[in-house]
Amino acid sequence: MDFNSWLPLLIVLSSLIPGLLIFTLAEHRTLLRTCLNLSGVVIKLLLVVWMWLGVKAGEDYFFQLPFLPGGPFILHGDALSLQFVMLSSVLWLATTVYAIGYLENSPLRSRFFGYFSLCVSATVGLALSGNLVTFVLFYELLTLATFPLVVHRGTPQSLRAGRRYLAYTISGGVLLLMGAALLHSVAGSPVFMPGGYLSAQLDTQSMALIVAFVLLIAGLGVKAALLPLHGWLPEAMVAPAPVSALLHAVAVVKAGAFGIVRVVYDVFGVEVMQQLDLTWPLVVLASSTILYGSWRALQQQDIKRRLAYSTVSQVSYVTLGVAMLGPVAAIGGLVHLVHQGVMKITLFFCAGNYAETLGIHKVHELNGVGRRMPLSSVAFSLGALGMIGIPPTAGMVSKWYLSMGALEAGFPWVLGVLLMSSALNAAYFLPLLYRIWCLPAAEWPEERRLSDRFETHWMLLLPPVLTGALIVLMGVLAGTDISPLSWTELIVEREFGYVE
Amino acid sequence: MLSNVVEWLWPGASFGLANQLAQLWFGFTLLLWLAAACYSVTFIKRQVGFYWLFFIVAMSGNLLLIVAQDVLGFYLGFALMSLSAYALVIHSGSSQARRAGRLYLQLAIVGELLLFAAIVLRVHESDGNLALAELTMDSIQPLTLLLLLLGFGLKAGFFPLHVWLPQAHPAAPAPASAVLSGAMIKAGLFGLWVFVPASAVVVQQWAVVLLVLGLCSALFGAVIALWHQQSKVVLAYSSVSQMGYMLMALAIVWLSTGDARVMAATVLVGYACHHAFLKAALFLGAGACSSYRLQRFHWLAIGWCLFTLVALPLSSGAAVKYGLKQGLMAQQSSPVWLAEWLYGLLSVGALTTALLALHLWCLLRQQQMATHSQSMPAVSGWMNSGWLILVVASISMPFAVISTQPFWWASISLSAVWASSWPVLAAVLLFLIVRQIGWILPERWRDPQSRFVWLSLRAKRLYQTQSRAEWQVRWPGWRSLERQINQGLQRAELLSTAAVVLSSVMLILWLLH
Repeated sequence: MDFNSWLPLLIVLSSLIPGLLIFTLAEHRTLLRTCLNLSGVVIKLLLVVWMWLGVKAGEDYFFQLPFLPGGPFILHGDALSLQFVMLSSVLWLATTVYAIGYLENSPLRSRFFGYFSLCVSATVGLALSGNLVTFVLFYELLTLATFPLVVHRGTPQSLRAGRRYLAYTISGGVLLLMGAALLHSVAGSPVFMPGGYLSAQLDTQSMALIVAFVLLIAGLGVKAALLPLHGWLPEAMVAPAPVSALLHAVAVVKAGAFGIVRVVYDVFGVEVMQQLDLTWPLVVLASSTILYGSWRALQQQDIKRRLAYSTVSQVSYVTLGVAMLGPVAAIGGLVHLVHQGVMKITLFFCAGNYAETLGIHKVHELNGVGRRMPLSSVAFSLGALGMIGIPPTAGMVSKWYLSMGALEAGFPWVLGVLLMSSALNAAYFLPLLYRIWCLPAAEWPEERRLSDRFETHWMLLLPPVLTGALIVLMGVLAGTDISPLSWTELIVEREFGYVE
Repeated sequence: MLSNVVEWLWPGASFGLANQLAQLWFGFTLLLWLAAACYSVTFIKRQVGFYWLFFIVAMSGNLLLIVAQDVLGFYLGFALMSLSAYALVIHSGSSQARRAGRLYLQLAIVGELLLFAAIVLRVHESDGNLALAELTMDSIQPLTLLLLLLGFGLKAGFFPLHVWLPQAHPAAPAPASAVLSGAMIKAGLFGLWVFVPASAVVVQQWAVVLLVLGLCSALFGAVIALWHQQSKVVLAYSSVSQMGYMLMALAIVWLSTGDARVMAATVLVGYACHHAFLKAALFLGAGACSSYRLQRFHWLAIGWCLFTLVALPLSSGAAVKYGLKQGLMAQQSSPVWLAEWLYGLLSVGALTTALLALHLWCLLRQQQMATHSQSMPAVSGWMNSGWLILVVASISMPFAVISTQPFWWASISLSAVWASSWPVLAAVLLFLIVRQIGWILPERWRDPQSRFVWLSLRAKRLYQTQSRAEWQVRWPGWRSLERQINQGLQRAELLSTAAVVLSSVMLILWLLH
C-alpha cells in the first residue's frame, strides 16, 4: 500500500492517538496536554489540506481492511467526504482553542479533552467511511464519545439531559443498524458510489428497500433532529459551551445530516429514490421541521435553548436540499452543511462568552452588552444575520441555491417555506440584536474579569472573531475556487455529472 | 457600456453603469450623500461613531445597487441599504423614533423577503441568468410582477405602501431623512425600472393600473399633508405624493414604444434627480429650522426649493412636469380618454402640491418664530456647504443635465408657462381666501394618527412570546419498570417457574411436531 491509501487512516488517527494519550495524563500537566491537543489539530489540518488538494486534482484515497463477511472496513476520501472532513477539522481547531480557554482551571480536563478528541476522530471517520458498515461503526462510536461530554458538568440537569440523549441516540443507532443490516442482506455493503448501488434490486425487492430507507432515515433523523425525533437536542444544550458548539455545528447533528446525504445519493441514488417515490415524504418532513424549529425558537427565553431550536430548523435545510434531488438544490443543501456549521459555532461561542464573562443566560439580560463586549457582539450579529440569510453573509448563498433548486426541482411551495423560515429567523434573532446594540445596559448577573486587555479571555475571543469573519468571507467570496460553494459545485458535478 | 465582471466575488458579480441614465442616477445619488455627509459633520452630536458607521454602510449599499450589473450584487446593495437605514431612523433614541424604527424594520424585512422571492422567480424565468442586462428581455409571470411591485413598492413608498414613510422620516435626524427621501426610496423605483421587462404583455396590462395608482398617490399624499402640523411629516407626505408622479413616469416608460420610451425614461430619471435635490434640501432646511438661527439667504434657498416643487417656470420642476405631460399624451397603449383625464387631473395635482408648499412655508416660518431667539446657534459652515451643494445642484440641473434640456426650453414657451402657473395662482388665491376668512383647521382634525404604529406593536407581541414548555413524549417510567424487573428476577421461585415454563413449551412443540 502506498501513502495515498494510508492517508485516510492517518487523518483519523491524528486525533485518535493524541486523544488516547491525553487520557493517561495527570490533571496538572496542562502544557503537555495543550501541546498534544494542538499538534493533533495542526497535523490533522495539514493532512486534510493535502488530501483536499489531491481530491481536487483527481486522486483517489482508499483504505481497506477485512471486517465483516462481505462488509470490509473502508475509508475513502472523495469530494463529499472532504467537505465534511474539512469543516470538522477547521472548526475543531477553533473549538480546541476555545475549549482550552473555557476550561482553564476547571477540574477533569484530561477526561474532557480525551473524549473531545475521540469525538472528532469519530466524526472524521464517519465522514471518510467508504461503505454503510463502516459508517454505522463510527456512528455508534460518535454516540459513545459525545455522551461523557454532554454530562461533563455532572449536575442533575446535565445527567438528565445525558440520559435523554442516550435514550434517543441509542434507539436511533439500533434503527440504523437494522436498516443497514437489511440492506446488507439485500445487496451487500459495497463502496458508496454516485447513483447508488441498489438499482439491480429495484424490481425484485422494492418493499425491502422502502423499509430499509425508512429505518435508515429514522436512525439518522435522531441525530439530524428531524421533527418527532429532535427532543434531545434542546436538552443537550446544558453541556459546556465548546461542546454545544461542536455538537450543533459539526459533530452530532451534522453526522446525521451527512448520513442522510450519503444514504440519498450514494446508497439509494437519485433514480431509485424517484422510482420508489421516496422524495416528497422527506421534503415534507424537512419543511415541517424547519418551520417547527423556528417557531419553537421564538418561544425560548434562554439564549442557548433558542440557538438549539434554531439548529433543529437550520440543519433541516441540508436535508431539504438533498431530498429535492435536483442538482441546484443539492448545491444549496451541501453548502449549507458548511455554512450552518460556521454560523452556528460562532453563535454558540458568543453565547458562551456572554455566559462566562457576564453570567448572561437569558435573552432579557442581553441589554446593552454590545458596548461591553463589542467584538463578540459583532460576531454574534454576523452569525444571526447569516441565519436570516441577509447578504453578504454565507446564509444568503445557501438560501439562494435552495430557492433556485426548489423551483428547478418542481417544489415551488418550498420557496414559501424558506421565506416563512427566514421571517421567523428574523423574528427571533433581530430582537436579540436590538437588545445587544440599542438598549442601555443594566447590571450584569455575574461579571468576571478574565482579561486586562480584551473584553474577555483572548482564547475565548479569537475563535468567534475568526469564524465571524469567515461568515462574511464565505458569502462575499463565494465565487472563488477555495470557497465552500465552488467545492460543493465540484461534488455535485461528480455526483450528478452536472455542470452549471 | 461600462461593465466589468469580477471573478473572485460572488457568482456572476459584475459592475458597471449600463447607460447614460444610470450614470445620471449614480451621479445625483452620490452628490446627495456627499451633501448629507457635509451637513452631518456638525449636526450629529450624539453616538457619532454609530451614526457614521451605518451612514457609510447605507451609502455603500445605495451606490452598489446602482452599479451592480448582476442580480446578487443588486440584492446585496439593496439589503445593506434597507437594513442599515434602520440604525439611522432610531438614531435619536426617543420612544417615537423606536416605534417608527420598529415599523420601518418590520416592513423592510417583509419587503426584503418578498423581493428575494421575486428575484428568485425572475432568475428562474430567465434560465438562471444572473446578469441584469439579460433579465429585461424575457416575459414575466403575474406572480413575479406582483412580488416585485410589493417588494420594491415597500421601499419606494407610493400609496398604499407608504405607511412607514411618514413615521420614519420625522424620526430620523435631518441629513438621514434627506438621503432616505432623496436617494433611498428612489432605489425602489430604480429596482422596478431595472427588473421589470417593459414589453411583456402582463406589464402592459398592469401599467395602466399603475398609472392611475400613481396619480392617486400623488393626490393623496399632497392632501393628507395639509392636515399635519409638523414640517417633516408634511415633507414625508410630499415624498409620497412625488413618488406617485414618478410611478406615473415609470408606467409611461412601460407603455411607450420606440423613441417615446427613450424620452419617457429620460423624464423618469430627470424627475428622480429633480426631486432628490429639492427634497433633500428641504429636509436639511427643516432640520436647521427648529434649532438654528436662519439667515435671509437660507429662506431664499427654502423658497427656491418650494418654487421648484410646485414646478413654476424656469425651474427643473417645470421641465420634468412638462416632460411627464408630453409622455402621457405620446404613449398609445392606454385608452385615450384615460390619458386625457389623467392629463387634466395632473393640473389638480399641481394645485394640491402648491397648497402643500404654502402650508409648509407657513409651518417653517412658525417654527422659526417659536424658537427664534438670539441664543440660538448660527448655522455652521459644514451645514451651509451641504445645503449649498443641493441648492446649486437644483438650480443648475436644467443646464447641467443635457438630456432634460429640451423639456426645459419647451417649458418656458408661453402656453406651457400658463399651464404650469394657473394651478399655482389658483392655490395662492385659495390660500389667501382661507386666510382672509380666518378659518383654521379644527384641533381634532390635526395630525391624524396612523393605525400602523399600533398594528406594528401588535405584530411584535405576536412574535415576542414567552417561554412555554414543550409538549413532550411521555416516556413510560423506564427506571421503575427496570427496578421492578430486577426485583422480579431476584425471586427464589423464579428458577422453578422458568423450568416449568420451558419444559411445557418444549412439550407443546414436541406434540405439535
